[in-house]
Amino acid sequence: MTQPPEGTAPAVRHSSIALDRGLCTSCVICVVECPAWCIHLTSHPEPVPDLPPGARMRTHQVLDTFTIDYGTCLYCGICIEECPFDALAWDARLVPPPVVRADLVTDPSRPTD
Amino acid sequence: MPDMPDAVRAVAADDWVVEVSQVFDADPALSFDWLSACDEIGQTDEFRIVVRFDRLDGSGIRLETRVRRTDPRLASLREVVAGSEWPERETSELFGISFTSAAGVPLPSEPLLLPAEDAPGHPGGWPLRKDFVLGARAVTPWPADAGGAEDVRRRQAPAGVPDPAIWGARPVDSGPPDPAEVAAPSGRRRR
Amino acid sequence: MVRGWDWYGDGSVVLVDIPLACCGLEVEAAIPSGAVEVDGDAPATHRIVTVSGTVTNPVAGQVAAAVDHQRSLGPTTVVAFGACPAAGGPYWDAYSVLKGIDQLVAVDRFVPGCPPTPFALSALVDEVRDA
Repeated sequence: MTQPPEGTAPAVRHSSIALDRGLCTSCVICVVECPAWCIHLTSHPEPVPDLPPGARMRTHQVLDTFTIDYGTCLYCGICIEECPFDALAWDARLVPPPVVRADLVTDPSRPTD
Repeated sequence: MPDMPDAVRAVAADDWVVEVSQVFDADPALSFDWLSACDEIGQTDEFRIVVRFDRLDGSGIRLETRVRRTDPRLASLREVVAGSEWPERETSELFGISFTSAAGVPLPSEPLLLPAEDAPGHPGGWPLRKDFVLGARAVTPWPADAGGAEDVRRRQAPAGVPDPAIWGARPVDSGPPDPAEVAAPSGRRRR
Repeated sequence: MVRGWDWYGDGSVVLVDIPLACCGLEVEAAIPSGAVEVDGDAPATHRIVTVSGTVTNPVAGQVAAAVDHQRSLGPTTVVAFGACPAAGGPYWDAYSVLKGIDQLVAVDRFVPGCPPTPFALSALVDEVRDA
């Protein structure tokens, strides 16, 4: 089978992984499930805005940093499959090969338009 | 070609050579495929040794036997199954299982894959046993333990790394760790 | 004889691959149809050495020696092609795996991927030639 089935999204070349920060809730499921331990993220709690009057204050996690270490990423796609919010996706853009090994740790966030 | 499940037969360890050679000799369409072992720690204190034969049509038969996990030994198939010596030596190196002559004497063999036990670079154990700890993971902080989200999710542990209280940071007089406890996280964790 | 590839068939780039595992197949797939097989020591304006695949402890010394040999022939771009030679890849936790060939030799470019697409290599070779 070389074509995706009718009515499904077109196949994207698996050149890298992209993150939609607007969808990420810092649930950490991708970090937990990654078999290579190559995803790192930090987040902090913020009060949930616009609560109804009289409601007690609640917090939610807001994403700070998110990195994938492409030195150990094995492109298994488990992070993409496991994300409950579809914040991660395959991307066709190549990761430019860096000069320094440390630069294989990159932030996969899609640029905001 | 459709996938056909293998026929599987359990064999008592004492009957290993006789039964395997009977099965192999009875069907000229069979050829030797592979031989290896599985560490059953956590279920039983045994190794399961498996030999597989298959045919050109893809069908196959596996014969399995079990040996105790301490001082494990099994009679060698190398006299009755051509080609079985190499996988037996590999299994011996990676699991620490001794393959013996008919008289029960361990057969000597040069290491194939690992350095000699006293040579630098030897991993200090048998790498395919389930209580063989992946040292690199044990000393690397699990990414899910950092980042400020620990308080909002259930405490979890990565697959394959035993709790430091079981392997690693233990009181001096607590004796060796129980292999079954060390091996317990080797299975994949379900959420 | 160690095999090299005169990539463009004009002596501008000779690439020597040290194929150790799956990534070696992607290097093969990247070789252009106009490439000419040459001796790995053949002269070239630009030399490239690709280490493609998992570097295990038993072969690590020989891989490093082969890389150093290429460097001794002239200005060379050493490329870790794939996650394994870059940092150990998915096998970083294995007792027998070197966590990247840069533990032993200087590496100039790290190509991520498991494996990288052949285009990742051909684009990099173009970049080296045009530098």
